[in-house]
Amino acid sequence: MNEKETTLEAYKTLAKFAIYGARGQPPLWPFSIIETNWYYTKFFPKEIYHTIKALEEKGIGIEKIAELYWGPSAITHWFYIVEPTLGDLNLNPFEGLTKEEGVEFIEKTIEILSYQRKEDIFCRNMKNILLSDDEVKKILEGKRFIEAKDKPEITKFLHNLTMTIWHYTILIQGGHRAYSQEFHGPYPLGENKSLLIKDFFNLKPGEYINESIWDFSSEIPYDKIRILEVYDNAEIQIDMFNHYNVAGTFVKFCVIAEDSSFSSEKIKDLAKICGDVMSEGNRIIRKFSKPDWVKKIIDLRYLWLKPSKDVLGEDWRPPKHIYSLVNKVSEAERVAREFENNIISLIRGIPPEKAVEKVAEVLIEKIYNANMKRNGL
Amino acid sequence: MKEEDSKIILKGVPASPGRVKGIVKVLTVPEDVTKMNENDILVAPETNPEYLFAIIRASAIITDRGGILSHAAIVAREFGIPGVVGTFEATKKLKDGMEVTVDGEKGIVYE
Repeated sequence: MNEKETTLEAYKTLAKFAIYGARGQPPLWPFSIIETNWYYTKFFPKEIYHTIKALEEKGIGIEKIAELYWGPSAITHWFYIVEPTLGDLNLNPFEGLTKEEGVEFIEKTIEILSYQRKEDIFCRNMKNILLSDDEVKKILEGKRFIEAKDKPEITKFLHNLTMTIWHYTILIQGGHRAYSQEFHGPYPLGENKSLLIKDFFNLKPGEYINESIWDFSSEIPYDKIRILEVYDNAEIQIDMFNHYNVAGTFVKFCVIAEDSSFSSEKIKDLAKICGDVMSEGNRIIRKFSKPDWVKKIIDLRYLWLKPSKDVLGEDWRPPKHIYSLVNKVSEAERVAREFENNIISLIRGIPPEKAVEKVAEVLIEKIYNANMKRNGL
Repeated sequence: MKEEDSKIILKGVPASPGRVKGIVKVLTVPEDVTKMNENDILVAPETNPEYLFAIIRASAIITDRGGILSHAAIVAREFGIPGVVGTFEATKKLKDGMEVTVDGEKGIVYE
């Protein structure tokens, strides 16, 4: 399969989500993903592309770059960046890049993913496999599991903890939780048992460099939390954007932070702390205007690039002129409004499978045959 | 009462399996979270992180908007409670205090 065919495959998978979106999918909090991606078209692909090129010029291979740009579900969201072009046919999906550079950006995305995911990089088999058997074995060694079967009160604490952190990651990443979480698996353990791993990370964004993005995140006790869940006869499905679905008998679980496995009491305490931080975070964020949000989203995405900027000896902070995007809120809103109308017109009367192909082809056309002005911000 | 004898109030996208009977609480804005009692059925236009504390108390979730991968659907499955999303008019048709049955497997809300 050549690069263009692989890209088309990626966009067919993405188009399924775009079409679901047309059927009443709510906007992502704090605002529509189309709006968010509209802002991204203005700075993110250009910044990523030039950073990758600079790393390569320093002799750093794509495998190492894939380590600097963790993790796969966040990177998969880069495919989404082209989507607002359905809301504005004149929009350049990768502003500041030439057509060839835009294509290369998408191809690099696919290449990075191929180092991070061990099976289907687009999770079309509904598995998000990141670890080898040996790596899984090592993770399980010496872990103290808590039995879940027939113990609803204990599992309720776990679900509360999981959902509290899950929501917290949405809160701190401006709706893009994949920059702070990666659920992966299922990993077969034998005897019909499967392991699902729920990794939460960057829970205190920026704090490690004393540039905390959110003051309230300092109250979260750990920057990384891992939850291991073992199921019997389970059907565990995870898509490329890290939406997940689990059906099966929940057997046991383990919550880990800083190399220690938590007791039930400690899980309960952690859920309480995270819940309190969520309340405080909600209270603060409720006061945000849209321009405040845009500024945060810019900061968060640039912070995410910091490991690669460090290797290059560059400052991670956004150039000041990027913040002028906060003045373009109404333009982003218009594109998001028109997106839905355009996508509905595009697929009206077409059977679902054909509709997916149609949307994917339009998006691919935008990348490969774009003839738009390639101005900078 | 047999299922076929119950009146269907709403149909939507089946988001999380299970069947539960409960009292409706309509939260059009998340600030209303304090209205929720334990095991109420949460009805909202859509959910987002601000609804977390209402969701923790809910025995089922019904939303106007959303598909199987929406926030409300994922949250309902994680908590193991029935969920029906994308009903388009739950917040109009359902009123506080109504007793309804939610079938998350079929995506139906019965009187």
